[in-house]
Amino acid sequence: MAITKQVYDWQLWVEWNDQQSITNPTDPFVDDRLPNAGESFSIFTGGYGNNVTESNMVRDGSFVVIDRFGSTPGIMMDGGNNVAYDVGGTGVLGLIQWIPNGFVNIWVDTTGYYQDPQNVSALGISGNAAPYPETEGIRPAHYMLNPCVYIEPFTTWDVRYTMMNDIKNYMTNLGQFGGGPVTVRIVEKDGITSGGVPMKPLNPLAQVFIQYWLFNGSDALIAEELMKLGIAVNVDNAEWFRRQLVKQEGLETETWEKYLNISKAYLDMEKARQDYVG
Amino acid sequence: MGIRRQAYEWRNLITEQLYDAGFTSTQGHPVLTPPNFGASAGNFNNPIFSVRLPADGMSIFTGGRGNNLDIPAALRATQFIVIDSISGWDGQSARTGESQWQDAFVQIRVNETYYFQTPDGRAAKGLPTAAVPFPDHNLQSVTDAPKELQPVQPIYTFEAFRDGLPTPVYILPGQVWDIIYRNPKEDQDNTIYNDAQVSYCYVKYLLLDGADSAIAMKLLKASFPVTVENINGYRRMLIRHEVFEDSMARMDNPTGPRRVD
Repeated sequence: MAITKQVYDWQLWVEWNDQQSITNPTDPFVDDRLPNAGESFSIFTGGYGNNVTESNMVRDGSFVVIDRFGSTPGIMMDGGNNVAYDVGGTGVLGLIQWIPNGFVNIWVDTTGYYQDPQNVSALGISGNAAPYPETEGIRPAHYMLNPCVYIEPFTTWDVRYTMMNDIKNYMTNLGQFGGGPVTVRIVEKDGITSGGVPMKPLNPLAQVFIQYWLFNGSDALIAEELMKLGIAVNVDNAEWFRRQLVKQEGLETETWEKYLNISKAYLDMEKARQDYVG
Repeated sequence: MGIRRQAYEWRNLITEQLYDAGFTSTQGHPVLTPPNFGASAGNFNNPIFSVRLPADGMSIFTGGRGNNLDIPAALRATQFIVIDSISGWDGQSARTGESQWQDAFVQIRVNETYYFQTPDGRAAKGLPTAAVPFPDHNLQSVTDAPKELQPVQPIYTFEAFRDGLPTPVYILPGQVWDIIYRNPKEDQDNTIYNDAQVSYCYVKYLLLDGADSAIAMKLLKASFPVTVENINGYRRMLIRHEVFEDSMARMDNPTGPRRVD
């Protein structure tokens, strides 16, 4: 499998007992296992949610093309019993729905992909612009990664997420809501039984999805050659380039004519495509 | 990274703490603590506010409402921008007692020129958000929101704008550009109860840097559309030309070992 489509689905759940009594506003909800609002962290190695064991460096003999991503849409929850409620009447208010109000940014080595119009590094793309999952009625995604982002060998890449909604402060406020104080909890992924009634969260606290093409071995070399020639790196072009190499087998390849032929052949193919596709 | 797909999202919202302190804007998106709602809309704490907007429109970058920048958007000498999509949302349309229909408009300004014009040549209000809503879902996926909080009609992007602006707007090096959002219905400060009541403006553009900016200028002078495909095509032409030159140079001045067949 020299060219493969890869995906990474990052999800943030509470998987531990997070019950806390909020007795007054100066006694806030505290949990270091959850990210702080406004804190940008890696979805791969940031320490929150599901992670991998090391940072993403594209190894020698590999080439990565990032072509799409998305994250949880929305700014705030709608309220009512679908956000927090006391199921069994036990006096514990459980949070079962959360909107992170998040932004996704791509980093290549030490450079952030997104910058704002004043040329300063930006938070990235919101879940409203690039939603994941795409539910009924969300169409089309307002943001598509076109052109794709190429990650060359020996380059490190990362996807960083920033939640702009403060879940800890929200839980503190929840504890004071309705005259307080009350005991609050973020309901864990596998659910709890509250007063004999099972209680489960409706969705992850946050979710980020990213998909990319992974070129391996000789296809990674082809991808690099395509990039040098200014040709878009995608599966069609990589396979076409491979066919060109096969056709040239036996010829002297250490000459500039090879590149010239390839460039001209691509031009011809482009014209043919244009004739047929327009 | 010579060609980058960028986006800027403006929202007319501000936290209670800043609102109480008299602020109407923030530098960048603010950290929010979502309100705690009860079963009815009136029962909540820690509200988020939308602020009154000037009736004749305001800059989403430096207008002093919602999330802003420090300085106006301007291009450096080695940058080129192609604005290919704008959209927005009238948050007031989702409020009880307000007009159900989108009354907001999005306009593009380049230096002193407005992109959308009336037939008699004057600056128009802009592209109506009824044609380019952002985001498209507009709370449709939420079926259990209180009845009075649900927008009356789902609105989708008009066919002609599914792929963005049919004729993209080019911003050349050194030019100043701006996006003007106009919503006369936002004539007072309000509490926001859900996402549909937030007024949005969203702009998507290609940022070309360095050599790609120079290629974009070449394409523009030759009257070719500045697109990712054309820039890559021009770059391929340059590479082909260079390879051809190198090929000729090798024939005239061989530098490698002499080959004997």
